[in-house]
Amino acid sequence: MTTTTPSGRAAARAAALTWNLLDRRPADIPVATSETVPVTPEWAYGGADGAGVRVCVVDSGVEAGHPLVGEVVGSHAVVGRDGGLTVEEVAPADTCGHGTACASIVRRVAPGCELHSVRILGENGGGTGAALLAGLSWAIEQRFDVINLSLSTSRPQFSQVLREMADDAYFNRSVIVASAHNSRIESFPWRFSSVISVGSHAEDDSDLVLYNPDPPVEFFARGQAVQVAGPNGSTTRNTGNSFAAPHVTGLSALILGKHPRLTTFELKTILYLTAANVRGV
Amino acid sequence: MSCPSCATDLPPDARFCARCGTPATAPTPAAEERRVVTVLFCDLVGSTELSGKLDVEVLRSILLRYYELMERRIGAHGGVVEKFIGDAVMAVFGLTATHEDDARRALETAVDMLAALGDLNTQLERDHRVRLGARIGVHTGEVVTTADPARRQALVSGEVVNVAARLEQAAGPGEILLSAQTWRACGSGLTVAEAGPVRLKGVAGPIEAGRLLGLSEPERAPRSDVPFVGRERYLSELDLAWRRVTEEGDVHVLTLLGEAGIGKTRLVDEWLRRSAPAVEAVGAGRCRAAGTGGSLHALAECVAPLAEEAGRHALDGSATAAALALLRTGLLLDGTPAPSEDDTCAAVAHVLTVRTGEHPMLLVVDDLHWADQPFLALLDRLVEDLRRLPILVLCLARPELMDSCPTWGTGRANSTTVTVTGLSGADSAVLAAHLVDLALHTSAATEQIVAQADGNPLYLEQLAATVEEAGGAEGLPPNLHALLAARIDRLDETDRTVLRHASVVGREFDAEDLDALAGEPGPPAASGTVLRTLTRRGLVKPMRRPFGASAAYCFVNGVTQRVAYEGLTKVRRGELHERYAEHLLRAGRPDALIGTHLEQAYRYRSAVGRRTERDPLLRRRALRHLARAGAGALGRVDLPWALTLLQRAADLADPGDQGRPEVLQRLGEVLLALGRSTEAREVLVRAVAEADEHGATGTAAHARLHLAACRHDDAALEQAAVDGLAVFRVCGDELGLARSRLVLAGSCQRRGRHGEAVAALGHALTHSLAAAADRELANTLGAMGLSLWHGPEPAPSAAARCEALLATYGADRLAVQVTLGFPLTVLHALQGRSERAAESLAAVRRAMAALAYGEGAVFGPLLDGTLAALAGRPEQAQAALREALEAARALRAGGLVRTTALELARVQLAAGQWRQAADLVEDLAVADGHPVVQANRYGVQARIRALGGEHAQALALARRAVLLAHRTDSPADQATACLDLAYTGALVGRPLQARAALRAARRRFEAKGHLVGVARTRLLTEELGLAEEPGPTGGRTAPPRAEASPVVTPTPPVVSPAPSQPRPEPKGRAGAEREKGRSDEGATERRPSAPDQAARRRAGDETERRPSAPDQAARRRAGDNTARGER
Repeated sequence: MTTTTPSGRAAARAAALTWNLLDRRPADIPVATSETVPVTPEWAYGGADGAGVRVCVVDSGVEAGHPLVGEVVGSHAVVGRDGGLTVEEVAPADTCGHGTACASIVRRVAPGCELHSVRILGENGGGTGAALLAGLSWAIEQRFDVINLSLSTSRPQFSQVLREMADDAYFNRSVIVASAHNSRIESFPWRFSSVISVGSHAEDDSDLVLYNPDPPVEFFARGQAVQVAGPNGSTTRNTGNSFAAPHVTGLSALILGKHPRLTTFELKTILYLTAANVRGV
Repeated sequence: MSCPSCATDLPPDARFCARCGTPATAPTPAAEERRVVTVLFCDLVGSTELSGKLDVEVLRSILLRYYELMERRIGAHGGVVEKFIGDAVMAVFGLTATHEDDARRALETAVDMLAALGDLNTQLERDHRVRLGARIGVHTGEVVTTADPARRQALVSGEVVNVAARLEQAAGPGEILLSAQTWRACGSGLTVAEAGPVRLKGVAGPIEAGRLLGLSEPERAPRSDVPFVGRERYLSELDLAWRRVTEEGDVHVLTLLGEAGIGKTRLVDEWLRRSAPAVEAVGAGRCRAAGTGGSLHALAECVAPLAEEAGRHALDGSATAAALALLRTGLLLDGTPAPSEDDTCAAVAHVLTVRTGEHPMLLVVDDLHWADQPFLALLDRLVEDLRRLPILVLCLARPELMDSCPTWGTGRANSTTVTVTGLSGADSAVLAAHLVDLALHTSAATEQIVAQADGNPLYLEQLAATVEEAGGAEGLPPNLHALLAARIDRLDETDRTVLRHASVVGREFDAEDLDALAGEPGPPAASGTVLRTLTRRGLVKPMRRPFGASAAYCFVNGVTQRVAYEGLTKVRRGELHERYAEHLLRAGRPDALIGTHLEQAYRYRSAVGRRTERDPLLRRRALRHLARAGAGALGRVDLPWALTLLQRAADLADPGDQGRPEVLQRLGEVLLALGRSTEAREVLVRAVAEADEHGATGTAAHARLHLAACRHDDAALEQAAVDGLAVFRVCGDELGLARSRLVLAGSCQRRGRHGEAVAALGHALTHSLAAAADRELANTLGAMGLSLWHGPEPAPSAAARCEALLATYGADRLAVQVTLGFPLTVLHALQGRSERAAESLAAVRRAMAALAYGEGAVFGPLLDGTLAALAGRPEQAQAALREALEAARALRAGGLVRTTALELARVQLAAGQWRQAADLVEDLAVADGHPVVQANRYGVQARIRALGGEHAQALALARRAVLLAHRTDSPADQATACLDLAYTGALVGRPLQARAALRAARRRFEAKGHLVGVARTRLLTEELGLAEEPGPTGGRTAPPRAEASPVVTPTPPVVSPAPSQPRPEPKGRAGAEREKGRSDEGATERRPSAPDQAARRRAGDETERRPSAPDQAARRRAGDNTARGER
């Protein structure tokens, strides 16, 4: 595996970091803003289809040729090699249907995006925290624009490493969209402020995204009886926060498709400003 | 005749099975059960050598000592010596009574036997200078035994015994070799060296085996990585009890009663953790199953640390020192009440009194249900002796305690009993979430195990582990199985039988079901009493029922039902399923249920190889019911369920069975409707062949219709419909007639002959109603609406007819509301009746939503776009049509993609975006023989070419469009083609031709009552500067270039499957339905019929005029328009 440790990467990046502004003036750091343009949904993603945006679904894999998913450009999996874990290219397949379902939502929201898949679940559907670390760190290294994580681990021993990875992704413009756990339990990485966390609302509206004024879950999207890709090319309906996150993943892809240079911070702000309860529709 | 145990075929006069030795004259199957046992084989190593060394008498006495020793060790752990074979001993655990820890007991015995042999060897070496060596094999698996414990011993045989014996032979001297099954059944606390897969003689396939290295107490500590969940109420109960003890200064016995795995121990651990340091000085003991240590062992464990503490402060000669000395000779030595119960009790009371002088104290006695009577009595006495002392005695027990000691707990002095029940659903989900390393955030992932476990944390943990390892909870974890099997085994035979019968019915059952299954002559089973017992034992629970309805019960969880069912022999399962099916039949219950039980009966009968002449009968009956249920499900358009039923019916059917061709034909139909056309074709080809062979002409005709639809061959489909019509008429098959008419109407529509289509559909309607075929009815009415919309019938009367049909047939049929509501909405809109259109649209939307209408993704926006285009809202129309196009592409519905693309292109053309329009239509494949679609496309292309400057081509295309449109009887299609020609004519400098075309268009729109079309024509006339006479000075209904498409041609919606069902494969259905009904693609071109020729001549008259001077100006203006439009 070509992965370096997150802390190693942080050190490598440290040289390029700006720690203070003592040697320059405020005028030296101009930021091109959109202040003249009020942030509206139309400005943010109107007419966009996510073209040019690389989205990675870190999950159970994605079924080959599913009509609701379409083309999946890259298909990888975490596999055991010589006692360790490594990410290898694999034939596209889904061990339990979860990843395909998520991918189909992303595809519906952002038809033009480039979809990739990393399977971190085992052949039988069960998964380990170690595989999550391996798969996620690989995805962050590939600098995918958006990474969808409709799963989490509740094991505290993984939380620190995951937090470092999420921070890494945050500053490297890889947006991690992570669904909150369905039960009221602490799990990771959705719990971190550096990712975009998504829970379900009960409305029958796939376009409705809401901002939660009372985090840790930051956004709500449709997660009840969502029409998704089922096994063997079929269509089915599924419920759970798993299916809320891909809506926001897709939306993020639309926004990034139209405004490619956004940082994760800016993207999250735009999601906030365009959320239905914030913009006041 | 076959062996009742291993099913080997036996000669008719056999008394024993030649393979496994089971008596051939088996007891009645009703008396047999399947149970999981653990078999232990122990053999001497090198005994022949020994016999050479020793005198026969000495050898005999040694061996007798050896056998006696072994037998005693086996008995001490609750095993049964089944037989001696040569020098080998075979013992079985779980035969006479199932214990939850039979596998562990067997291994403890094995270790014990080798240890005992070591002691014996010390003596033998001393006395005879010889040593005995032994090796042991242990295996766990299912056997068949009698339900009557007295007769069980004679019956253990078969594979389990064989494997255990072979494992023993593969073991080295002094080794214990166990199978993976035993290993798993034991759970934690084993140290095993993997011996890899071993191949055993006479055993198919390798056996995973391991060498036992050590055996320790199973892990009882809770998993540290799983947090404590819920249980606040019980923690409060414990707090309360503690407060009472400390405040009142009196002893109290709190008993926590709850089934195995419910979390009693964990609850107490958590309470202690939270209450520290307020609660301390804990003495804790655990009762163990009989035969393991002294009867007061648990008390000794409780007292030992306290005694040690007291001993440190006791002065020599004090009363405390005396009490401790006494305890050390009895209770603390070996857990016995030596020298007497009185003395022991007094001494314990003294030690506790001394200790509680300092602070209140807690004693915990776990697993009190294992305690025997003397222990309970002593505990009672001790409590009496401890009055006025602040001691909380916390007893944890399973409900069985109340069987052995019904008066325990609440009711006694200073005693309370609290029953610990399962976790709530939400808490279960939380716990389940913590049990896995990685959790998917889909509710389906945990729902299944939460439902199975019914709040029992141990079950949750075991099931979660199984899911994680095996990807599903199909196989029960062996220790969970053993736990429940032991509980069921402790029931009386009557109770157990009723429980097993209930498991055949399902998760839910009622007293009537049980009476029907009891079957035996005599009074009906006193199921009421039995059910109350089973409820008390926590195996079943009553369900809420309205007063007066028969009492219904359900298993407390899925796991219990499975274990109860697995205890039935397959023969017995077969009998019970059959008997239950008879009951269902008498009670007039659904075919699917009856068929399923008959199918199970047949499957189990064949599984044990008991083939009799009744088998084919059973099979055919199952087939009949499943086929009927499948046909019913298909009629209700419940496709996934129909598929399951028909697939199972087809699996049961042998060639030549009555009804098999029909099953195959319907199966093919379902597959086709689900878009699985390759499979459908295969099945239908078989259906045709078999139906022909058996002279089932109707079935063959149906199958041929589907097959033609499958092959996308319009000509073949029409032929099949024509042929079918004759056949269906003869056999009076209304459904067949409805379908054939529908197909024929579809080909009329494809040719644009809507008048003829309506006539054919009138017949189809009659037949659909007669056949009570809702899907055909909805499709017929939808097709009728389409032809009324497109055909010559003027819009006002067409709308009125649609409304009348909707009122008559649509009231309680959502599908009809969708299929007919669609054209009706458009009919309102094209008359400019926007309010009526909006009302109608809302109704269609409601119906689509209620129907969970899959194609709604296409038809919803398509209808929106169509209406927006008619109402002159081009931007809205574009957005909606684009959405419809995306959806149609996602569904891979070719016909829909074409019509939607053309519609969108027209809106784009009107907005001046001709390049975008060109992108949409240029690659559009339209087969010949579809004059409607072809005319539409040629018209659009003509306008595009004209704008692009390819004048000659443009004009040719426009003319071709008009010619094709005039083959149809659709005024709107003709008018649209004329408008296209007018547009093109104006652009290429043929104003006269354009003007004539405008006139023709207007006439046709007027004839149809297409007011929007009339207005558009007028606008275009002004726009192109071709007005011949001052037109009526009506206000402009739309800006000039917002001229949108007045013609709308989408295929109307067709019926989708049942509303409530999840719809697994809708992608192909739209296509499949359409192909079946009225395909609009792939037909070979037909010769124009007589009226067509006339139409062509008329069209020629109007279009082939020479251009004149004013055309030039028109062309310039048109060019200007274009330029503006493109800006």
